Amino acid sequence: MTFASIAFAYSAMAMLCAAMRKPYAALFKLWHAKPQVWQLRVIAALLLLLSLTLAILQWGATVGFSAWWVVLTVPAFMVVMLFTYYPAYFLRVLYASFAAGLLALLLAYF
Amino acid sequence: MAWLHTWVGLTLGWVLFAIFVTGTSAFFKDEITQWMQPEYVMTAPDSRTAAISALNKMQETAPHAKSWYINLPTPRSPSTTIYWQEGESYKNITLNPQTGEEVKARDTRGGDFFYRFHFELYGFPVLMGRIMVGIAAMLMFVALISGIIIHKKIFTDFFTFRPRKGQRSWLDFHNASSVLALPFFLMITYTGLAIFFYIYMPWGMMAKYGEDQGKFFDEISHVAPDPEPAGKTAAMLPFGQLVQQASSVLDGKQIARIEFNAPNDQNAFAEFTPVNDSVLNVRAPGIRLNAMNGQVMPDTHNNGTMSVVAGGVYGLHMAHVAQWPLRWLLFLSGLLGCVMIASGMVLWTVKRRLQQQKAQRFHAGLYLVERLNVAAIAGLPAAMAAFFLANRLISAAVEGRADLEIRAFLLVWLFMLLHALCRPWARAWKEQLLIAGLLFIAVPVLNLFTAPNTALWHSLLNQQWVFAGFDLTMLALGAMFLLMLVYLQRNQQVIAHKMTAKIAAKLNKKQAALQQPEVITEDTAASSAVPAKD
Repeated sequence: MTFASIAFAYSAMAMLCAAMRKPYAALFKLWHAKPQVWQLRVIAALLLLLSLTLAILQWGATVGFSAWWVVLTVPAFMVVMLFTYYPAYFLRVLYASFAAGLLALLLAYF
Repeated sequence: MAWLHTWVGLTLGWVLFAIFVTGTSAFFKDEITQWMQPEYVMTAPDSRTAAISALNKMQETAPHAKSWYINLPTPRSPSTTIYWQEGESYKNITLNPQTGEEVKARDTRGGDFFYRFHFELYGFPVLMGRIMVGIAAMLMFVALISGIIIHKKIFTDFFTFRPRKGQRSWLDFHNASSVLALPFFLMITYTGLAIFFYIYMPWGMMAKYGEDQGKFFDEISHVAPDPEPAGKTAAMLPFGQLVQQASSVLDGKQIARIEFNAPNDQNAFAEFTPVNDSVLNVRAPGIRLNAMNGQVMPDTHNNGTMSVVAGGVYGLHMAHVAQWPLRWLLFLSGLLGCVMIASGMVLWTVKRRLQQQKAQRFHAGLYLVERLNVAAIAGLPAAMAAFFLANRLISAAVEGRADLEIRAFLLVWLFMLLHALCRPWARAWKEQLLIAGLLFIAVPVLNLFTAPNTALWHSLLNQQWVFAGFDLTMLALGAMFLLMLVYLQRNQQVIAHKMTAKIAAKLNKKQAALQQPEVITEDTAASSAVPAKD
């Protein structure tokens, strides 16, 4: 559950980063103001909610909510570093983290 | 506000950096201590066996002590520690949890040294050290709030980092590291301040309790006083039965701590505290059993709002509920705090260096800040690595070796300061990064020869994750410092040339601007003179 929460937090942060003008243009070689960018932002928001829910399920409401902020911090920094130094891997890592999150979630429940 | 942010950060930046580095290491305080005492490599049994063997040892060692305190083994600390009060002082012994036999290990402060350093510093009277750290934490809080106010593009620049652009890169890195980890920084700084509120703002407590401050702490933890000893010796229940009773009342939860009041007295009672891995309140209560008949006694813990909030604030800072994934995330967030402070301090010097080069004058303040930055940012981690090396190099039998380890730490830090003061600035950075990198890598290498039972290959094969994790972390930190050195070697010249060219271009532009008005004046004068002549 913890790993799923971290993986979804990373995916959400990477999507929020990709939805910003310069990163979007750099990653997709063009700039769609709408609706693609908003789709990314909405999916990112949903993934953040999922990450928070998993943190609360893992640690309980008080600890889970406090811990979730730390869960967000490290992936967000990794997103910045990856986009800066290895932008070619950015999308692949994003897909991998999302898949890893799903896998961890499945393993936690089955 | 920018002025406030800059000067507040600079004034105590080095102290803050030291507090953050040592505080970050304190997330793994128990693991560091375990690594520094390789004699304690043992497998912890279930808490009931450990509890019974510890209580038997206490009964054998100090049957008439006022109270017994027993810390049972956890995955982070595999040995049992027993304490008891004799007169005004406390004595302690470390036990093998399986057998209850005393285990002798090398004398060291372990992770506790860095833990205490981060809120008391070292060499100062305790109260003074805590007040100094409190002032630094308050300034950190001011710097955080003022930083939020002056950062105009928090959301636009949320993921922005532009490397190899000199001052711009430092500012980007400072902004990114502070914004991304802002909730952690606010939480850790605020809770750090709030824990010692009674030192920083004691007046409310003094108004109600006067000099009897102990009463305040009694009331915050208990609503009724503990039963006094009757003064009559009586036979207690067999420890096995008592522990069994506690375990069933606690629904089989692992016991973390036992506090035994007035043992072998008619009014003896024992408090069993379970492992707390889900409640934020660090003072989450255990259960009390009458030691004569095993009956559960009424709960006298203060469960009032203020007590729970105080325990919660303390728990947030101490992160006692964090299992290893969360503990690593906290550690990495702490490292982000270190690089945030470090990048802010370096940014100050990068800005001033540009100004100084333009003015072409020596600036004593800049000289000092640049050197202190080197001694803090590269020198302190190197000194910490030296502390670990000293642990393996100083013989386990040497008297007062714990102090020798601390001396090694302080001497290496002093050497790094002197080195930074004597060497040219750019070289000091490179040399100290190299020293720090090599010292960190030397820790697991030296461990191979001095403590083979905890050597990296051995601990990996035997799944001793605390020892393996420590050695791998040392290697990672060493690699990080060496990578920083390589990055500096490659980019320092390029960026320096860029900066020099930029300064030269600015100076040329300035000179041209100074010369241009004269030409215009002459032209104007000449042109204005023409009609006059006409």
